[in-house]
Amino acid sequence: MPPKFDPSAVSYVVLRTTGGEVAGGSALAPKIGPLGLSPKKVGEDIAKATKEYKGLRITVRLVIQNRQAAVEVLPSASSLVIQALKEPPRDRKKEKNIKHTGNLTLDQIIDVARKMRFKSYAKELKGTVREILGTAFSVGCTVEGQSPQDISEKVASGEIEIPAE
Amino acid sequence: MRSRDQQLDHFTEWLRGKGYDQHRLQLAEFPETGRGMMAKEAIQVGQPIVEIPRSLLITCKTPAVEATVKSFSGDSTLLSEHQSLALFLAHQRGILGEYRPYINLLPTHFTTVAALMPKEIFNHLPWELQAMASAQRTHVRRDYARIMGFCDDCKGKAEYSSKDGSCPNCCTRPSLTYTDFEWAWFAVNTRCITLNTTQRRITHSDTPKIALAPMLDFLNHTSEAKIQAGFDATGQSYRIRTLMPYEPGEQVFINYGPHDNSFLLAEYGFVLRHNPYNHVIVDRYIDEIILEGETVDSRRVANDILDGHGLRGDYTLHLDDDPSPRLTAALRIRVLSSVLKSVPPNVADMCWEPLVPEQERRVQDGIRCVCEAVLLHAEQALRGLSGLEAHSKESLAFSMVQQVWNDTVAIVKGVMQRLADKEDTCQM
Repeated sequence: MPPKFDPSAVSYVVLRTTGGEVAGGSALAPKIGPLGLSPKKVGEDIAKATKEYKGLRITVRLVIQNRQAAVEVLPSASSLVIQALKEPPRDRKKEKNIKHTGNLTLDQIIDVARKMRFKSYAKELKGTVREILGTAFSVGCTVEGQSPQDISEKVASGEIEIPAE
Repeated sequence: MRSRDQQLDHFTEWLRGKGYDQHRLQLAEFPETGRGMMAKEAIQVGQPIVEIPRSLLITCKTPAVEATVKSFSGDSTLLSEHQSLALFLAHQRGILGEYRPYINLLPTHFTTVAALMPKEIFNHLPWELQAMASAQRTHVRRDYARIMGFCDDCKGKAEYSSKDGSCPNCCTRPSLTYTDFEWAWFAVNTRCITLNTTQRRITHSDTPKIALAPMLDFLNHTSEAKIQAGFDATGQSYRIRTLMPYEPGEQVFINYGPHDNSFLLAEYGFVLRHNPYNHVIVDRYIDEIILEGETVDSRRVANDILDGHGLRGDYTLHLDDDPSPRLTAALRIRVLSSVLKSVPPNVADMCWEPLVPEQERRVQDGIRCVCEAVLLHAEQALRGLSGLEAHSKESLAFSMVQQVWNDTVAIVKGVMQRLADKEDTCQM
């Protein structure tokens, strides 16, 4: 049945990959082969769409309709925070246990919070900012030269003001 | 044609009366696509091209539709949305109703939809297109029987009387001819839109899911057009935004979805000249070929594995791309089960990677065999088409079917060419 713009004809596949890298066929093929998609082509498409996240682990969503896949990058707090740190891209195969020691400004954190706003259940942007500060802590970086935990407390107490939107 | 112009004027006036004020687009004739919508002014990216107010949308909840459905079956909940809309259009065609100006502008015949093609052309359609079209025909008959409340005796008859659907046992319903209903069914099928384009889950079984949108349905489809469509709750209208700019005088297109030419021909009754979504379905050919060293037993084992892993069917060939991984995987499983005494349990994981060269060669031979079979069939069909009488050859349907086959030949030849190239590089 063909009503125009039918959304039920679309299916989704969510994958976690390393940005900017062409995933090996053996990883993709069993997942998307049964859907009639060419692993080689989709792998290249993913690499192209994730160029900005070179070397980071990110989640992508394939929007599949009629054996054609469009690639969407699903933003995640940690990959956005790490991306904001602007570290030189690394080869994940050679370096293990990567540590992130950098510093972010509060504005950068607010930017990330705005991007993640739609996913967050916080009532105000303030809450989302605190969520991102938690991620920053887990990533291991500092914010404005201080521990993200301290900043988070200051945001909570109102010492640091966060815009409403 | 003056009468056509008058009808158009009536329609525009009717639209205005219903609260739709069009300013960006106007109806026009185009050499390539026939009737379509022309941009009256420059349209920028992100601008809405049409906004159909809620009052203009025809759904199964529109009072006029509900009234018609009630007069036929007494209970409006018994019919599906498609059935209700088709019944409404068919009924409106017969009476000089409120929707007359819209009905007048609809095509009078859907001769290019695969299911309604004349028999001599229909017989030359690809198999899967014939199957789709036959399913539609049964669907129309079933819907008609449902609406007319036919008794089981009448349902059994293959062809309903085209003059009147009355039967001595069950003619309690108002009369509605089968021809009119068939016309309305295809009018709905080719023109309806999905109301809820964002959510995939059905929110409420009561809310209408499809609608007819007068004016919007004159927009033609291309695979290049980029649009955003959906019902806008705040503006209470169905809005389509273009993501491409248009110059004044250009035809404005929308995109129905990434459909291939076979689907377009079966459902909407047209084909595109260059359609990137074209593919050839080769399920039937795959079942018919016999691979080197294959036995009846090994074939059965392979089919069991394929069924078990959901890899049976949906095998396709594509333009500028490798054959579908499903197809190669299925052939690999068949080769493996013919070579090995007992098939390893992880065969479903193995089939995504190339096998050892000797076995892989058999897989490639299988693909070549399939290609040759398709090519043979396509050539036969094209020859059959060219042998038709002159009057059928002039029809639009004829040239469309011809194009579907030409597309098929181009795809298969491309696949064969790439296979040959690969072999050359292997030998060097």
